Amino acid sequence: MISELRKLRALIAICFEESIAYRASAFIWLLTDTVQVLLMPLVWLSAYNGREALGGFLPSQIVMYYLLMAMVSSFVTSHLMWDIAQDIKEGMLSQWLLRPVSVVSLFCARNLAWRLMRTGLLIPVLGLCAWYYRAHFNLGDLHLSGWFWLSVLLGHLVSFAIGLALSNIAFWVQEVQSVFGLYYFPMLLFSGWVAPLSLMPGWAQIIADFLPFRYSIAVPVEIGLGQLTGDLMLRSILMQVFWLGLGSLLAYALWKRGLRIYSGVGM
Amino acid sequence: MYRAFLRSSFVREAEFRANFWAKVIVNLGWASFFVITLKVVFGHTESIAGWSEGEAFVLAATCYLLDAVIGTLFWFGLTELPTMVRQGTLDFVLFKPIDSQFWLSMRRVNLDQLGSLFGGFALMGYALYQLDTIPSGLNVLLYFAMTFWGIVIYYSFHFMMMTLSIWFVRVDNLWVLSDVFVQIGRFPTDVFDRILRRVFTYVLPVAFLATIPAKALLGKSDIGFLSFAALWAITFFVVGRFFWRFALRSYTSASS
Repeated sequence: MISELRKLRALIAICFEESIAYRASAFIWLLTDTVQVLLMPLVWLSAYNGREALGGFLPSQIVMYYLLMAMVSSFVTSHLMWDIAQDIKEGMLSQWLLRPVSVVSLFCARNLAWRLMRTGLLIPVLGLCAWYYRAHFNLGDLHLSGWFWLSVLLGHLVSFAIGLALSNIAFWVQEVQSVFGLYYFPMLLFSGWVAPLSLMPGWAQIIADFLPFRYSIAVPVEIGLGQLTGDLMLRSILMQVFWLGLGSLLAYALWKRGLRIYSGVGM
Repeated sequence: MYRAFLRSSFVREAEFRANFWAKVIVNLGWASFFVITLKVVFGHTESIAGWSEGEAFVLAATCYLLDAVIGTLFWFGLTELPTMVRQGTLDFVLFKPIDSQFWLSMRRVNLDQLGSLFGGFALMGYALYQLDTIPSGLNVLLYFAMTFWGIVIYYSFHFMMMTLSIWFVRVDNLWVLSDVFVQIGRFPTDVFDRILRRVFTYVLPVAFLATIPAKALLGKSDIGFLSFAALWAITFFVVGRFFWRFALRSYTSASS
């Protein structure tokens, strides 16, 4: 167990160095997150038209929502299926399979390292955004309890498990990019990335309830803002565990089947 | 010359017909994403920074038209530039007896973006129906002139971003910079405070992509902006061209 943990730590360190080598492209990806946190609050703030609250949100709550959401989603949201799919297609996977660590922990480390670096890069940018929104910046809106951190961690794992399950499609489908492209559509829409789910139309909230995406982003954010408390919070965290289990199971089953037909191109 | 490019693009699409329709549908889906975002906000209010729902849809439609034109004509050819730099295949282009910028920009005509074009026109129709107005002939003319300059600005910006790949060989997502540029342009620049609004009009001319053309169609812009837009667009184009020439001087072929 201890040696496994030490291996994992070494892996994370290696992957972290690797991801720093790509900091220029990471910085560019960062801009897309920034546009969302900078623009959406501005759009909402321009929509108040003298009202005190909009759908129950005070101006400061809207601003804090997007700031926290950017932070959480940058740590949580996994994009690793692009890399894994490429490894599968180009036969690079063989190289990982031959190493003395399990492939899943390798992928997990790679994903975690990337997410940590992206979040680290985002902090100064969010600082700038917070300064821009200083009139509406209110630390009192944040409730960063232990439940929040637990929920963030679970959100990270839920998204990782789904990403892992999705990557397996590359075993069977050649043009996997368009499938991944399709994935982002419901993911961004029903995860709370576009807007707080409670501001979405009723039908969208119902759909969101049945999809895993809100359990990766919206739930931790709502807990962190003190909007999700008590029994409802505990139930949401349980649902995160449920989706983590289901995602992992799916990823495992597909992986087993996929490896059977994996030919290791280029070997 | 351009006819040959067009023909080869047609042939390529015809070979993968199922994939082609899938891409058309995906493009339309993404186009609707922003409309949904707007719908969410307008579910709680009647106007954003003075823009009613219909007016915001005119703006969104303008963005789709812009995206569709750029996506059909230039995007995919230009976006391959960083790959060509990395693999050294840019050499073959530079040896060709044809202007390299023209070749890179025009080579690939991407027809699956046509879905966005129809989507853009449909949204525009819906927006005008919702606003219950028929723009005057002069405003329509002004709109298309403004949009034309918007396309030139977008094209030149994307070309400059792709040119950066000559130096940043390992950065594989430079196209995201252009994407961010347009993402900002989707929202009316009126949502910004005075300083950022000036920045996005006079420094980084995002406002000319869609906000100002949309205002022209709605009869809220004065004709003086047209010459200003033209000035900006031509400047951007010329700077882009010089930048490319300048970049090529520091290009050291990867293959040799």
